[in-house]
This record gives sequence, structure tokens and C-alpha cells, in this order.
Amino acid sequence: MTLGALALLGVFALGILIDIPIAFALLMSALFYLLAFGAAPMMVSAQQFVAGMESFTLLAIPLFVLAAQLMNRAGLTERLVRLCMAMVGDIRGGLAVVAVLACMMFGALSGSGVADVIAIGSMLLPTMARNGYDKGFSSALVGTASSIGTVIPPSIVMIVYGTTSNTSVGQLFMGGIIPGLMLTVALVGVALYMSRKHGWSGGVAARVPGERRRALLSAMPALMVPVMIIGGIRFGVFTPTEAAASAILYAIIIGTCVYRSLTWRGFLDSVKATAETTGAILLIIGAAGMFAWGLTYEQVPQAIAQLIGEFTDSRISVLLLLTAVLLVLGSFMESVAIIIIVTPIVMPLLAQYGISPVHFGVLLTVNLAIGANTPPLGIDLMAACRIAGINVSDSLRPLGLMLGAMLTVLMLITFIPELVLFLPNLMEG
Amino acid sequence: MSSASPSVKPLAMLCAVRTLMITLSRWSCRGCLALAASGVAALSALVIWTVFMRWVMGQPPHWAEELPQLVLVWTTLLAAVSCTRNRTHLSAGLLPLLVRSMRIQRITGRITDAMILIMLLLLAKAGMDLTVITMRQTTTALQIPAGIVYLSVPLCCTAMALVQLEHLLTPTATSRDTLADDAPSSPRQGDAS
Repeated sequence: MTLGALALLGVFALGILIDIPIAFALLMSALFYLLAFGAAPMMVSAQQFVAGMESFTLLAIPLFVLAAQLMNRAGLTERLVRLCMAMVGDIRGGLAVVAVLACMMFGALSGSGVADVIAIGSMLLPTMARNGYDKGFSSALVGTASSIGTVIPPSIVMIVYGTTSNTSVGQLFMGGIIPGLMLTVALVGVALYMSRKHGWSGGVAARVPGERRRALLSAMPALMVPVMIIGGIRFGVFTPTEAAASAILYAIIIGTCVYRSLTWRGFLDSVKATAETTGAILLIIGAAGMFAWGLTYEQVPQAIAQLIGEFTDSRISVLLLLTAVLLVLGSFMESVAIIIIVTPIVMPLLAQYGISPVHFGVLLTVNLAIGANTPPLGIDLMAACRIAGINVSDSLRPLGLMLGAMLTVLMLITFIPELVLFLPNLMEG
Repeated sequence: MSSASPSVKPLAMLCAVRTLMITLSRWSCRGCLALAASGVAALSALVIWTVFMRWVMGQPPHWAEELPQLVLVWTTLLAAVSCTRNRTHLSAGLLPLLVRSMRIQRITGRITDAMILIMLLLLAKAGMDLTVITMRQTTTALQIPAGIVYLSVPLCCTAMALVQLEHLLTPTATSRDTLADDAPSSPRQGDAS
């Protein structure tokens, strides 16, 4: 590796260690590299910075975030929880199953794990505590189940990966469906096993006649959102960006005309919150444009591909090696930053070993979902524990079983690529 | 009293300058957030309109990709000013795990604030140079000066630099403390994981 590449990566690593925001650490390292090594005029930095944000696909990020904000304020989340309660709330461990299913369904609306934790956790964690569920178990369950939101489409993480790697976001969305459902089943299994072992109740005392039908009818508009998004993309009606815009229009219509719970104030708060989220995520992507330019100029991806090529020639070994690296990175860094840094480096490797970018994209997403629950920086777990009012250490014992279930799914989709690629291939065919 | 006045006067002036800087930073931040929120609403309207035109009228508008992208770049950078003030930019959060001493954390926070300030000024200068050069070129679809897109870099980086200066002038307990009253309750706003 050249001195320029070492400087670029070194300044970035130092910036991260001393807690400089990720976007600024990326900008700082790229500017330092340009100043110290004179690879190009300084103007290139501004040009690459803007170029990193100029993508029609990236428009989907603020649009999906706004759609989720509006749906939450329109009351779609409460109706989803009510539906899950009516369906499985009265069985032993039912509340835990409700938590997993509600997180999965809300994930299909929001595309973000933390959004899931805040929306579902705020509603269910106090209820679970009142019904005798251990707080550590509930927090770990809501944290891990919320991470399914990044695997089930729509997924902000997948949009960022798709844009960075020039992979079809529609195919990534389709590829995430089966692994997302597998993760849901695995976590439901863990939830039922733990609840029955400890004798935790359902939470719903007795079912009111007709409650299931009423809850289903009430939640129907919310259930139509993923159908609209995935169906629209699958049948070529929408691009992911257009699907997100349609979801906004749908949320406004449902919130104002059907549920009548979306107010002008709620709309204003939603666009304000979306603007802040957009600023935080897309600034990193723009900054990464500059950083990636430096990496490419110094031929870092090729150097790493060559290094790994000397180490192994097995496709599975490379995937397992990348998985190990991603799991470690995931427990220390934020998802978007990992994708932005890792993707340009691994793309030549994928081509060299004949690994499908869609397959790797979904593996990356599942890896990051696990990382979002692994201390010291498991962001979804931290958010859930904060809502439950406990320390992260209180949730570590039950967390092990849930992470084990997620890792099993990860290994299955690593060794059987068809589990990921079946639906995208069907979409192409 | 008369002997104290020469030293008090520059101090009072410094305080006045500091107050002015903080007020300017606060208002520019509020203005940027309001504009960014309008940008988000405009983005949604533009893409919805594009879908409508494509499926109902059979022809998407000629600006279908260029205009939303322009709005996206401006929205991102304007919103980033607010994130800088509220310290809601995503960061790894490793420093408290590596360094236990609050004093060292505080000093490191000051150093990083100063480094970010210098970096933002450098980027603003690079952005300004690029804007001047590209103002003579026009964009493909809208036929407006290309520099309008790049103008967001010097303007927003200067606003962020102003906010960084406010951070440096404001005594805080640790590097992660926020200046805003309405700081988000979630661990790190904007997290996509």
C-alpha cells in the first residue's frame, strides 16, 4: 500500500477514534490527502463531495424516512400492534411474538432499525414489563427484531449499498424478503422458547369476539404499504424512489381522509425530522464520495483484492472472511459508514470470485443487523435498553440466544445463495 | 473605577462579539433547518408529480431527475448545518470507551471542534472556487448555471463553520454536549441501522 493510501486511511481512523463525526472524518482525511500529496486541485474535493450526493436513487432515502414519519403520526403503527395482539397476543409468550411480528411489519414501512425500536419499543416494552417479562429479555428481543427492518424491504441500508455499488435496489429489496422472513421465524422461535421456559404469559386476558376481524380491517391500509412498494417495484410500475414518493402520498391520504389523525402540525414535524435525518445520512455519503475517490486514485481496492487473492482462492472462505470483518466493524461503527467504506474496497473482490453483488448486499445487511445489536456500539440494542430504562449489560444473557439465531440464518444464506437470489432471479426472469 | 475601565472595555466588546456570533449562528441554523424542511416537502412533491406525469400524462417532465437532485444536494447541506449545531451527526462514540477522564475528553472535544472548523473553511474555499468556474456552464435539462448546485458547498460550509465557532466559544461539559434545547432523545438521530 502506498504512503498516500496509508495517510488517507490513517487520518480517517484517527478521526473516528477521537470521535469526530464520521462525515467530517471522511472529509478531513480526503482534504488532508489532497493537500499533502497534491493528487488533484482542491476544487476536486468540492466536486466529488457534491457528486457523491447527486443520485436519483438516493432520493429514496428522505422519501422513505418521511413516509415512515407520516405513517407513524397517522397511527398506522398502533393498528399494526393491535392486529398482532389480536392474532397471537393470547398464547403463552404471545406478547414476545407480537413484538417480533410488529417490528417486522413496521420494518416493512420504515426501512430503519432505530425507527422500529422507537416506534414499537415505546409501545410494547412497558406492556411487556407489566406482564412479567424480564426487561433484559424484552429489550434484547425488540432490539434484534427491529434490526429486521433493515433486511425486509424497503431498507435504507440497501439503498445506500445499491447506490455505492451500482447494484439494482429493486433486486436487493427482493433479495431481502426471504432472509427477513427467516430472521422473523428464528426470533419468534427464540421468543416462544424463552417465554415458555420462564412461564411468561400472553398479555391479552380474553379475546373479544370479532376482535381479529376488526383489527385486520383497521390495519389493512398499513398492510397495503409493503404490498404497494414491493409489488410496484416487482412489476416495474415504480423505481424505488418513485415507490417511496407514492408511499408518502398514500400515508397523507390515509392519515387525513381515513384515520383522520394526521394534522398539519404533525406534517411539519415530520418534514423537519426528515430533514435532520437526511442531513446526517447523506452528508456521510457525499463525504464518502471524496474519500472513495482517494481510495480509487491510490488503487487501494485492487491492493486488498490482490492480498486476499494470495491468501485464498475459495469463494466461501472470502465470504466468511468478509463476514468476520463486517461483524467486528458492525459492533463498533454505524451501518451507513461501514457500507460507504467497505463497498468500494470489496467490489473488485466480488468480481474476482464471482460473488453476486445482490447476494453480498443482503449478507452485508444481515451482518449489519447483527452488528446493530452487538456491544459496545449496538445501536438498536442501546435504543431498546434506553426505552426500557435498563443498562445494556442487563440484556446480554438473553441476547446471546437471539444473536445465535440470527447468526444461524446468516450462515444459511451464506452457504445457500439461492435463499437470497431466488426472488431477484424470478424478477429478472 | 476609572482605572478598571480600560481593561473592562475590550472584555465587554469581546462579550458583545461573542453574543453576536452566537445569535447569528442560532438564527442561521434555524433558517437552514426551515429551508431544508421545505426542501424535503418539495422533493416529495416533485417526485410525486413525476410519477403522475409518467403514468397519467405519458411523459415525465424534462427536469425529472435533475431538479430533484439539485434540491436533494441543497436540502442535505442545509440540514447538515442544523445537525452540526445539535451535534446529531453520526459518530462512532469510541472516545468515552477509550478515555475515562472527563478533562481529557473535554480537551479532545475542543481540539476536534477546531480541526472541523479549519476543514470546513478549506472546503468552503474549494467550493467557492468551483462555483465561480462553473457559473459559466449550464446544466443539461434546466439550462441554469451549473454553479448553483456547487454554491451550496461554500454557503453551507460557512454556516457550519460559524456553528463550530459557536461550539468553541461556548463552555460545555464534554465534547458531546449539544447547544440545542430540543436535542433528540434517540441515541444518534439519523441512524439508518
